[in-house]
Amino acid sequence: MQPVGVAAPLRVDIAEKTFRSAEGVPVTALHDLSFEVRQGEFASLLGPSGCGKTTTLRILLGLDTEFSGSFQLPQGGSNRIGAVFQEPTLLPWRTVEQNVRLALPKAMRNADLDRLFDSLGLAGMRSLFPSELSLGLARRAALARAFATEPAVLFLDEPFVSLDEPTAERLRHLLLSVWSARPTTALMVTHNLREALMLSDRIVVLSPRPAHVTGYFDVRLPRHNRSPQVMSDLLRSFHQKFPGAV
Amino acid sequence: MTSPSQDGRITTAGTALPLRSGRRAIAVPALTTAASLLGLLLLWSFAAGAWPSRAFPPPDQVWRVLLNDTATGELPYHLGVTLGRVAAAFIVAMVVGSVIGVLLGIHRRADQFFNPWVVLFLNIPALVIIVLAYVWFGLNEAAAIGAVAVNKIPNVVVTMREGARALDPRYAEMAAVYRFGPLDRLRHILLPQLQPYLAAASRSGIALIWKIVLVVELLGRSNGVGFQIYLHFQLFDVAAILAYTLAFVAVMLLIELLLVQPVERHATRWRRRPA
Repeated sequence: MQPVGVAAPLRVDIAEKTFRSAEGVPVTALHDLSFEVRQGEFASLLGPSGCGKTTTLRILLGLDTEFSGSFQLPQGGSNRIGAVFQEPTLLPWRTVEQNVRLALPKAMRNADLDRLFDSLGLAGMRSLFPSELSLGLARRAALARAFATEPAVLFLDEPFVSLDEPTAERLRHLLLSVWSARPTTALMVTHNLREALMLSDRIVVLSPRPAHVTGYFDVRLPRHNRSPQVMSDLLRSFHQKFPGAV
Repeated sequence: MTSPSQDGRITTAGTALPLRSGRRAIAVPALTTAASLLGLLLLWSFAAGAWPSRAFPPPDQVWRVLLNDTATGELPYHLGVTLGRVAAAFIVAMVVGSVIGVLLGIHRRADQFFNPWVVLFLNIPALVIIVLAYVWFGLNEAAAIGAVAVNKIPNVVVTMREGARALDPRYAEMAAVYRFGPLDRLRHILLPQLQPYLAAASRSGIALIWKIVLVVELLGRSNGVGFQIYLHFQLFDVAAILAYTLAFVAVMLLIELLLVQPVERHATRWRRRPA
């Protein structure tokens, strides 16, 4: 289902987010962090480890409400949020299919998910328990869950971390094909520049902590044109624009 | 009475059966159990023959009483009454204890405040609670069942509080993002995580509760196994006392084998299939 309505972007405007460390010392994680992701765009939040990317995502997911500032999520579709966490976070006591269906609104519980499972190569694994899956397959199930809700916005928190490179690469292609079949505004957190360049329309580059936006890097090429040659050009121009960013 | 084994399964000493094994692996422990019980029976029979006394009847006399009282319908009636009380007290204790335990496990401040209460109730003797319940609420069914439940609730609270402390916040966050309803959260997030603790609490619960139910019946009810045992104690009829006791133990064993273990196997089916 296509997102409907006027092009409402994802707009983030976080003035400040502070943590209290174990000793009670306040640590500023985010400071004046504001950026925008256009409707239907795939954006990456790129920054060094520990700069506050995951913190930003937790705020957007509504899991962290202790911050000053505001944000606005795009509307459309089921008006829901899809999320792929750093770990698959499947319920171990429910099968793959039950895990996906449980995330759906009550009215959609019996929706036909054959095509989604097929496109992620999970057709034969719907009745397995998560403990019977490899990490790569569990990640695919987590992707299936996120896409099944037909979300208005999709958040991905380093969805390919701790996979071996061939598996991660295959999963990136799967993500792209599923996403282009069901385009939705997406924001992916990553510290992998190559991954960001391969998947994104726009890269939001963050500074080290306290995170604020250093700049945008827009990739206007269609994804199927991003050959190895083009990718190394993109890498070079990224490093020219943001020397020492990642 | 109960102990968590290394892989997290809860087993009850003496009644533990291997959950997954071949026919041979089932047959050997079953034969051992049978031989062990037969040995006990022989020892009893021999001892009763060596020191004949009205206070120490041989097994066959107990068996005759058992058959006789079953035929008259008296034993099944009293067994049924006691079983009903055990079930009612068990359900009340598990529900109330689980709710309190989970709330205390989740809210640290509340736990700090109420912990002394829990310790206090853990250490009040069962007899005191029963006597007070009868004095305050009269010699009625509600007082009897309530007294048994109150005896068990602190144990359930302590076990379930541990369970709630071990809850994984990631599942709750996932449920929040995907907007699970309250019922779905209970069924698919909370209860499966608490299952091992629920199993431990109910295993030790059933054993404790039925013993307390007998005391409650002895002190203030006019039916049930406890009442019958008291009656036969006054008549000095040891054979009948043993007959009622053995009948009830047998029923509890059957419940364990036919109800508790299958339910637990079903609840942990996702755990036992290797990746």
